[in-house]
Parts: sequence; structure tokens; C-alpha cells
Amino acid sequence: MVEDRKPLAGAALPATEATITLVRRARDGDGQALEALCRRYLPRMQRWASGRLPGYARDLLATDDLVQDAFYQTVRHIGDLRAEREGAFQVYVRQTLLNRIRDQIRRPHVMRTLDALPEPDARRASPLEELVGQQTLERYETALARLKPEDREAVVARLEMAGTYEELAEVLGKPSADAARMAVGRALARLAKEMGHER
Amino acid sequence: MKDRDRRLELLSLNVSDGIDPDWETLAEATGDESERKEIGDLRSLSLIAGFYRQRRREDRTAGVEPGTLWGHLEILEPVGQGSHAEVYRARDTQLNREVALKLIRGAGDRGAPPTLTLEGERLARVKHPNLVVIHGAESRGGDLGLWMEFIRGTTLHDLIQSQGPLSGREAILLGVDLCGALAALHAAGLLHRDIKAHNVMREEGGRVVLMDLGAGTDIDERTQSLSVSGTPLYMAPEILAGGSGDVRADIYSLGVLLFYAVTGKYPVWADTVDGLRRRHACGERRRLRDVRPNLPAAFVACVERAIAPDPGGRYASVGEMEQALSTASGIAASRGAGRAAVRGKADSTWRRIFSRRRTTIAALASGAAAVGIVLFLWPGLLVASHYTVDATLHRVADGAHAQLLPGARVSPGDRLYLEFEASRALHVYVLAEDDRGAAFLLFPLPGQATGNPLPGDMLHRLPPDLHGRRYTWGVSSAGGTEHLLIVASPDALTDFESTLAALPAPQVTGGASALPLDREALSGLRGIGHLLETEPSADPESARPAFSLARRLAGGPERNRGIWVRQIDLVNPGR
Repeated sequence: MVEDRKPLAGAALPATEATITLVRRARDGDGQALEALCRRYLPRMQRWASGRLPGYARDLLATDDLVQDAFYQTVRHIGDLRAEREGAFQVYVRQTLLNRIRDQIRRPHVMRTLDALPEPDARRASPLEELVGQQTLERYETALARLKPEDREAVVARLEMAGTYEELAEVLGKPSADAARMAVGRALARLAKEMGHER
Repeated sequence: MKDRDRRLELLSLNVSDGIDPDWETLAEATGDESERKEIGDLRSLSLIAGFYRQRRREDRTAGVEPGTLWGHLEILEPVGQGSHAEVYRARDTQLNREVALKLIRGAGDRGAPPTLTLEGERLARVKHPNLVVIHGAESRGGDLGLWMEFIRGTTLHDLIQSQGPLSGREAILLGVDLCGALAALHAAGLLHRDIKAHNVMREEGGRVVLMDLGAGTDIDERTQSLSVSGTPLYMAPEILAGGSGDVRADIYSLGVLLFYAVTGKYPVWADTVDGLRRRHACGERRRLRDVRPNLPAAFVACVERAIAPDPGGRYASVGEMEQALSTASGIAASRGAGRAAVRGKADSTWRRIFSRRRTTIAALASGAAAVGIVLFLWPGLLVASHYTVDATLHRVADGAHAQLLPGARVSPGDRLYLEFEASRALHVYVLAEDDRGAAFLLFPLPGQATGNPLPGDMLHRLPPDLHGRRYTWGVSSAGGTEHLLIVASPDALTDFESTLAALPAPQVTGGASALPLDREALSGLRGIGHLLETEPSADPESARPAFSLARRLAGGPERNRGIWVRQIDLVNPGR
């Protein structure tokens, strides 16, 4: 139909509204809604987790199961959902998953098994830690947490979920892809300044 | 905003766009330690973004491999990706024709409504030359697929982004075509509900096609509570306010589209949907006459009526709007033969627009001198979107190779070559010009085996080898300043090439700008520093058509097409 690489809008419901509606239904026990959410979110959250799990943990834990379990728990216990943007839900899921990963890799049985693995030091780092260094990643997390929610959502949606600007317009509630792009640019500039404060 | 903040935001946008600048050079260019650290942190953010982009690419590739069969359709390549559907170029193996396949994977057992099959059903009800033709829709293995004609062309949005707003007459004819398509939809009891420049294609032959009825509804559904769908900037205020829409909501969107087509701007604009609602509520809007005063008054009146805030102030039907547009253009529009006459005229006009707009690039070649915008920000900072370029100029002297930075001195007898590497395949053009306006094409040259596009992710040395021999560009004369210009583009710049064709085209043998490394061969050959025996032009800028064109490519709307331009000035005072 087209040769340009622009995404084609084509849904009757914007993702924002559909996602939030699905979350509410899933929280109330609607299994179909939960499945629909999983189809939408699990691939991107699994992709996200692949950058955060240390090598040894990736060997010992089934990443897909970890993410799926965390996602189910997140949706079922999400409580009063006030978020009007899909981006807010995305950040919430991402933070819950991060906490869960941190919790999992601290478990004693994992660490005991680690002792038997070759080159344990090298395998303690996650791919992102290997890429930018543990301290930088920690500064990133701290600075990200300090941003305003809208900026945090923009950073997570673009940097960590690799969303297109068209997708971001829906996720962030922006009227156009260009507006979403500008919002990400501004958010990244603020993030870089915040990271500087963490040195 | 302070310069430093502006630089930080620009660099942040580069990170977001996936552009990887020369971080080392950027860090060295600033004398401020805290700015240097911010640049370092942005580099880390760029690495994180790159990591996840790569993972997503891998996931997508793993999605549907080229060659995979989906029913009787063979997937050829992905051509579009949205948050809900993937679009592939595919081949119908039964009818042996090319189609576009819009696919929602795993949609069959989702809770969401099967929008794709609804879209197929809606479009199948209507046949019109300016509506995309649907071939079929099917649910298969949990996937929903809709296949339709494959249109080779560009979206109106991309056309305007790359080539600037339309003239009033072009917009009128565009509007007449779209009114026809919409009239057919409305007559079939359908609303489009997502009219926007992204959803209008201009086929290579000039045909205008309205696409994507995924957000559409039956008119009979309009009294029900409809969720907000479509694109907010094009939405009628009553829809944004949560109300129901009728044909006048489509007319409003069409009015916004025509406003955008002639200005590149929207009548009501805000950063957020809530902001849009507020501006609508306050009546804050741009007037077409204020944004572009030189449009035909009848056209301006037509657009302003279409985007009247109150639905009652708009046209009652697209037929009425089409009539007004036709009157504005001086075309007598009527149903039947009259409409066909209008359409025929519109089609041919669009073909002319396409043709004219392509030749516009060549016509730009009569302006001023060129300056590589790359050097305006930081040395080495890349401006091209969606790809990275590394281009360095080198000199060979006594067997030693040295990189030449802008402002370096060159002398007759020097031999130069360019190392060029990009993250994707690009069409590359290299020109040289001296102070007196004498310009030479250095690459690509007729007869060379290596030409455009140059493959991505590999280092190229220009001029390329020929018949197993290595060549350089020779400096064979002295005086003034030499300007080397490098232009790169994902697409062939066909009109730029016609400008280049008018430049002196040296032959590879006998007076070539490409010289063998054999030093004896240097004598008598024309190189980048060759001096013409002419007086300097009173207006040297006017004598540099190719450079002038390049500057416009870099600074104008062409930049949005991802064209990369760099100028390297070399001092050639003579020995």
C-alpha cells in the first residue's frame, strides 16, 4: 500500500484508551483482557528485561517466565489506576519489573549457583551495565526517578521501549509524532542535566 | 534559551533520532567541564537507546521473514509498522500480483474489536478511483490480514515536508479529488474519521489516493458514544470534546488537511490533546489569510468554512465543498461527465506538479553560494536523519597519508582522496570548485565501474579503483581557496544529477580529475585546484549552481529528506 516507513494509523481505539480499559478489565478478573494486555506488552517487556538481567541470571531464570509472572502480578495488584496515559502504565510496569529483577537476582540460591559458574565477575553485569557501566546506569535510574512523570514516560517509551514517534504520540497523549519527538528531546536534555547532579 | 541549552536540546534530539554524532569531537569542542560531562551522559543514553533499538529490530525481523507465506500471500518485505498493525509488500501467488498486506498478528483472540476486517468490509463497499482498492480480508491462525493494491508513491505529508507547501491551485485540485473520494464514502453510509496528510498517497503516476479507513465508522453509529479516534490535530472540536461526529467532522478534517497542504501548519495547534481542547474552546486559531496572504480568496473562504468551529457553519456535504473548490479554480464541476473532466484535469495537474517539483531542484541552481551546515554546530556533527556518515579527506604525499581538516593548505601536485562510510546505502556526489566559480564533478564519473548508491557499513575510498588501479584527485593549479563539497542522500537526486551533468565532466583518461598514483601522470591533468583563465565573477555566488543547490538542499525542506551535505574548504595559495 505504501512505500514510506511511516506507521499507518489504523485502529478504532487509540492504544492509550484501549490499554487503560484493558487494564481495568484485567484487574477485575477479565481473563481475555489480561491475555490481550500480555500480547501487547510482554514482547516489549521481555525485550526490556533482556538488557537488565545479568548473564548468570539469564541462564538460571527463564526470562520470559519472570516477565510474564511479574506482569500478571502487576496488573492484578495495580490498585486504583489513575493514569490517563498509556505511558504512565508502561513506566509502572517497567518499575515493578525492575524491582522484581533486583529481588530475584539477590536470592541466595541464585548466588550459590553462581559460584559454580566460570568467570563469575564478568557475568554479574547486565548487558546495559556492560555497555555504559554500573555507576552510570545507577545514575541514570536515580535521575530518571527524579524527572517529572511526563518526562519519565517519554524517556522510557523512546529509549527503553524503542517506540516510534507515531506510537509515542499515542502513548504520551501527544497530538502528533513531531510533538512526541520534541517532548522526548526535551526530556532527554533534562535527564542529562539530572544525571550531572548525581555525579 | 542559552546557547548551551540549545546545544544540549539539539544533541538530545539527535540521541532520540538515533543519530550518533562524533562524541569525541563534541566533547573536545566545549571548554566547559560540566557541559563535557553532559555530553558524556548523553552518549551513554545514546548507547542505551541503540541497544533497545537493535533488540526491537531483531524482534521485528523475527516476526515475519521475507518469503514467508501468509495464506496465498508471499511476504516480500516490511514497509510500515504501527502500534497495532504491520504492513508488508507481498505477492498474491494465485493472481501473481503485488499487494500490500496489513497484518495484526495474534489479533484473533484479543479482546479488541477486529478493526482490520471492519476496515476491509467498509472499503469493499465503495469503489472510487481516489480510494485504495481492497482485494481481501481474512483471519488466519489468530492473525488478521487485509490486503489491497500496493501503491508506489509518497504520502502528502512527506511530499510537503520534503518539497514545501502546495500552491493554491494545486491544493484546490487535491481538494476536488479528496472530495470525490469522501463523497463516495459518505454515499455508502461511511465516515472516514482519520483524514490527514499521512493517509493521502500520491501515486507515481499522479493519482491521489485516500487510504486507511481503520478509524472509520458507519454513519448510523454516529449517535452512539464514540471513543476518540483519529489524529487530534485534524479532529473537529465536537469530536475532541467527546461528542459524536457526522459528515461535517470529515469536512473539518479535510479543511485542516488543505490548510496544512498550503502552509505546512495547522489551524489549531497545541502540545497536548488537552491543550488542543482549550484552544478550541477559547477560539484560538490561525487564519489562513494571515499565514499565507497570497492565496485565491475563494479558496481561503472555502477552507475557512470547512474548518468553522460550529458544525452548522461548515458545508453540509462534501459535494457542496467540491462545488466551492471547483468554482474557486474556475472549473465547472458537476456530477458525471463534469466530474470526470475535473478529475482528468486534476490528475494531469498532479502529474505536472510531480514533474515540476522534481525539476524544482534543478531550478534552484541559480542562487547563492554554498555553505555546509554541518560546520555550523560542531565540527563533525552529523545532520542527516536516520543514518550516520563519516567522511574524511586525505592527502598522499611521499607515500604518507594524512587527513586534511577544513582550512588545510594544498598545493599543485597534491593528491587527494576521500574516505566515506555510512550506516546505510547512499547516493554520494563529490564536487570541487575554486574561487572563480570553476566547478568540477569528482564523483560519480561516467565510465567508472563504481557508482551510486555506495553500499552502507563499509569504507569506500573515492575516487574508486579502476581496472585494478588506485586513483586520487590531483591538485594541478594554484590560487585562492578550493571548496570540496560532499552530498549524500538515501535517494538518487536525479535533478541534482542533471545540474552536475552540466559541469565539466573530466574523462578518466586524458585530462581527468581522477589521477593514478603514478606521480609522472600528474603533469597536465586537471585537478581540483585548476584555475580557469577568466576574471572572477562580479557575483561569485551566482556562478556556483551546484554549490548553491547544495546549500538549499541542506538548509531547506530537502533537509527533511535526510540529505547530508558537507563542505570542506582548502587553502591553495600556490607555492
